[in-house]
Amino acid sequence: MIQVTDLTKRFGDFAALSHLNCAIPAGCVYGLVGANGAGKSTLLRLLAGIYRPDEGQVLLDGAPVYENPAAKACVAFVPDELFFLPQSSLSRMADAYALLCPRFSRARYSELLSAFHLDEKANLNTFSKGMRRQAATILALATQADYFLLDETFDGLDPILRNLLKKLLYAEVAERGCTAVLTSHSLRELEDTCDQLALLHKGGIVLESEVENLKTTLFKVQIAFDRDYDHTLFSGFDVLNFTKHGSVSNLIVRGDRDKVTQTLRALSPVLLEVLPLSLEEVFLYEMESLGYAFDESIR
Amino acid sequence: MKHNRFFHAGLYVETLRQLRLMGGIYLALCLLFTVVPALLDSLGSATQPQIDEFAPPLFLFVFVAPVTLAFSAFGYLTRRNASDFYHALPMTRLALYVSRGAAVLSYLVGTILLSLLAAALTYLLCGRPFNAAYLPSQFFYFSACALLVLGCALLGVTVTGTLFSAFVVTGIVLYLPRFVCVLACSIISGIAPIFYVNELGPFFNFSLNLPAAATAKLLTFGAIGGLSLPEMMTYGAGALYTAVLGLLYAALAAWLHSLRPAELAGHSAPNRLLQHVYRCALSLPLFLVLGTILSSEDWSLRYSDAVVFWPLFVLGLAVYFVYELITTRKLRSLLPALCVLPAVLLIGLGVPPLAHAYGEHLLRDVPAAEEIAAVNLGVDDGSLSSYPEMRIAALDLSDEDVVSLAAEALDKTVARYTGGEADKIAYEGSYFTIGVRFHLKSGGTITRRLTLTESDIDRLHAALLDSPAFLAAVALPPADTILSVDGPGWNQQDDRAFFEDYRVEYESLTPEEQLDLQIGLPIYATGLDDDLEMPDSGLTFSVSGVEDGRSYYATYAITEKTPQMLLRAMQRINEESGATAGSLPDRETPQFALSEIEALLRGEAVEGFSGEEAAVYDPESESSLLINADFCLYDPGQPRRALSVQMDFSAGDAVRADALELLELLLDCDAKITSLDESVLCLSYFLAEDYSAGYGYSVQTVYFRLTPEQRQHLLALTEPYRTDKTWLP
Repeated sequence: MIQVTDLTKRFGDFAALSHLNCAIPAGCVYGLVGANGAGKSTLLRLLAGIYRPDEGQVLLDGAPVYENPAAKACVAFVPDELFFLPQSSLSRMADAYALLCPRFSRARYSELLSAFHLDEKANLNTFSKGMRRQAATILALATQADYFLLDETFDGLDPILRNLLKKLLYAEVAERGCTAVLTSHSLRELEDTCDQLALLHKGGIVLESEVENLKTTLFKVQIAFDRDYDHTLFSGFDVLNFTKHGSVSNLIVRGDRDKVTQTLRALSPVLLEVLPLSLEEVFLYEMESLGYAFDESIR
Repeated sequence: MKHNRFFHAGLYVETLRQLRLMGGIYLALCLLFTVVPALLDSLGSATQPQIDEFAPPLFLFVFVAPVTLAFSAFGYLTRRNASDFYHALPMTRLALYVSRGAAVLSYLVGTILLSLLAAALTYLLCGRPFNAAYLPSQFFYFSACALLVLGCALLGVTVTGTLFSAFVVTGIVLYLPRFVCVLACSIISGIAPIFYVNELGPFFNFSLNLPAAATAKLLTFGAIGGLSLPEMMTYGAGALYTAVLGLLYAALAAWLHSLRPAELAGHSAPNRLLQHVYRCALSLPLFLVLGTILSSEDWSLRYSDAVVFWPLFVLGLAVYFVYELITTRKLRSLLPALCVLPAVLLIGLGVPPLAHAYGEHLLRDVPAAEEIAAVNLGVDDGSLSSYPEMRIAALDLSDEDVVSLAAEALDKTVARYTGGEADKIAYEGSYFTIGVRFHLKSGGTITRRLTLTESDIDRLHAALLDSPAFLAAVALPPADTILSVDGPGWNQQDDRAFFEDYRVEYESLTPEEQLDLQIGLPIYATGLDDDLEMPDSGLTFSVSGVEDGRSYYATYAITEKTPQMLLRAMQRINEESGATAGSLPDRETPQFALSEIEALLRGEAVEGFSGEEAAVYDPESESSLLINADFCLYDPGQPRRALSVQMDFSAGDAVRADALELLELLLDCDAKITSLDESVLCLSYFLAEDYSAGYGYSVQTVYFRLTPEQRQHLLALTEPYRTDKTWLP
């Protein structure tokens, strides 16, 4: 389990993360979404033990990760800017990983290599952006880590390879019970991959929830009455957003869908329609309710 | 799983693999440029290579390789993606640093070791003699230099985040402290020439920092830098200081690497303060020079100085601001840089006047004789000196005469400098300069450079001869401290064995006699009127070695005071010159030309083969072998007599006839010296060595045994042509 408490990281005068808290359970695929500069990569580097926290702490299975080789041995980090040794091939990189990472598995590496169909003898400089990301992912997965930290996970991958990677990640989580933390600036990329999603905004997590909960506890209601009314009529509900056009109102409501529907029906509306929200809409309204403007770039 | 917090073997191996191309190229180049010259030299010469001739490429290697290898191994500190990769590895930052640093060091030490061994092996295979005792000295010297440069490079790359700033900081760490010291020392020495700057502490001994001293020597064509290159290579204290400083820098870099934020990669400095420090340090040398110019002219610029001052000032400003622009790439960063400029100007213009004031203070610090407990003659300033000088300098002389004479000389010296006689002292040569360390009764110690008159020297010498401690100090260097002996032996092994036999005879002599055998003693030890005993050519031992981390050299004479060694040396020299024949073939003596006389003497009498083929022509037509010949006569129980023969052949046939008679006489003599119970004649002559190629002359020596008749004949024959000199027994 990853436990992040009151985590702050500053770069000069700029606070990339500010008093951030989160808990990522073991065996979970955790998605971090946020606009550029929100602090996603910084958080991953702190989880990987690359950065030293200015305040707060990061614990992996109860142990601090910074300057702790035992904890770092359980982590595989694939950054947004990939690193390979100069003029090296995938095979050369595998040799290096075998020397540097205690749990690196040659057998697993071979399996992954055949799954991705990469030429391990070719110079990595000749690889396309997507192929380089595949190579980095192969190496990371072959380390048999307990925690995979993947920054901009699907960047440069085509849909087929995205699916392949998702399948491999699910398999790692299901079979070995490992945890994956994925970041993306695109919500749609993570929507169908993660068990939990967190929205990072200006160095803090403004929203964190299980994906299923997000989708089921927030919904849209279209309602109309044959009498005059205003928003006070719905004061008994947890309404995140209210708009009225003529006699028809649109409400974003949080709560148990059946109970809400039943209660609204009791008000004798002439129109009542309860609609599901897309994950994007969920984030939009949740953030608005928290007083943040939803950043279009994360759609 | 056990995780070593200090070292990661896997990363060490991986780093060795990463550096193998660069390290391999360095090794190949070093081996190539070591072995090929050694091979060529060995084919053309049978002489023993000097200590600085073993592996020439290493002199460059120790400057270039540590920086490039360190920047390559620690380049991840300058690139964000590489920084992420290495900092995410399951090891501590200390283990990361140590493992990669160890790999760099392995290449450096390995290349140095293999190059030296390759040179030794080449000499061995070519049959060229070499002094194996030089190898450890060279290894230590090169390793120490490489370690210091590596330490600076590691510090540079650790406290910055770009290769450019890392390179700049490496240079600053390696050279700036030494530059400031040299500048301060030169100002102080200029004001107070009596002062030894080493008094300021070991840090001010320029020779201690071997890479900085070598660089200064190269850039100033030898004007600055202390010791010569061969001297540096056996300067144990310098190598030790250099190695320890390198280790300290490396240790400091390790600590800073552990604290260093990974996000520094790509930034020129960890914070604004250090950015100011680096920029100021880079431009400081120029502003210090400006301060020196100003302070030397009492803050008023003469025209000749102004033409240097203003361009330097502009250059200083350019360096200051251009560094800021290169590292930040922002014009707006020039404003905060401008705010800090007064600080670097203040330091640059303020330090030289402080040194100036300190120099003036030193001229006023003159102790009276009553305040002095003892003195040391000669100053152990860490530089190479002769062995007897080292021994004498270690003596605390408290004799009243010596102390009062030293105090008086100090007083007079200061008076000469403050009285405007500095130029006279420096250029006219009317004074003898010696270093004296004063041990004060108050417990302090000061060292001063004194100027003595001839009368002072005579008085000092007389006082020293009455000092038993001084006479007892004249001992031979212990065998286990000797690196090299050059004497009459065939090779190094021979010479060492000869020297140990010489030691037995030497130690049986009185201190005064031992003093007579030492060549190159300081003037106060020999005295002005002392008729220095100069042995025959080849009859000396030149010894060099290291004692207590200090390099030394010494030269000892082989004379009739050491008769057994003298006899063996004569025999050995005759063997080498081939002078085994004692008689001429039966033939009529023709009317020889000058060159034929030379050829005959050299070829038949001296070297034992026909002179026709071995004729050597003197390039100076008026000179000849006989005219240039020096004879020395050893008579049993008598002092040695030097017979300098000057025969002018242009004076007529009579001289030529005498020359031929002398030649006949020599050719009749026996060159097999079996004892010193009968007269022995030493002939030293010049031998042109491959004159056609422009090589010069060497002095050759041969000994002849003389019967009483031959001796009498020789003296009578040469009487009109010679001047004699006799050394006191």
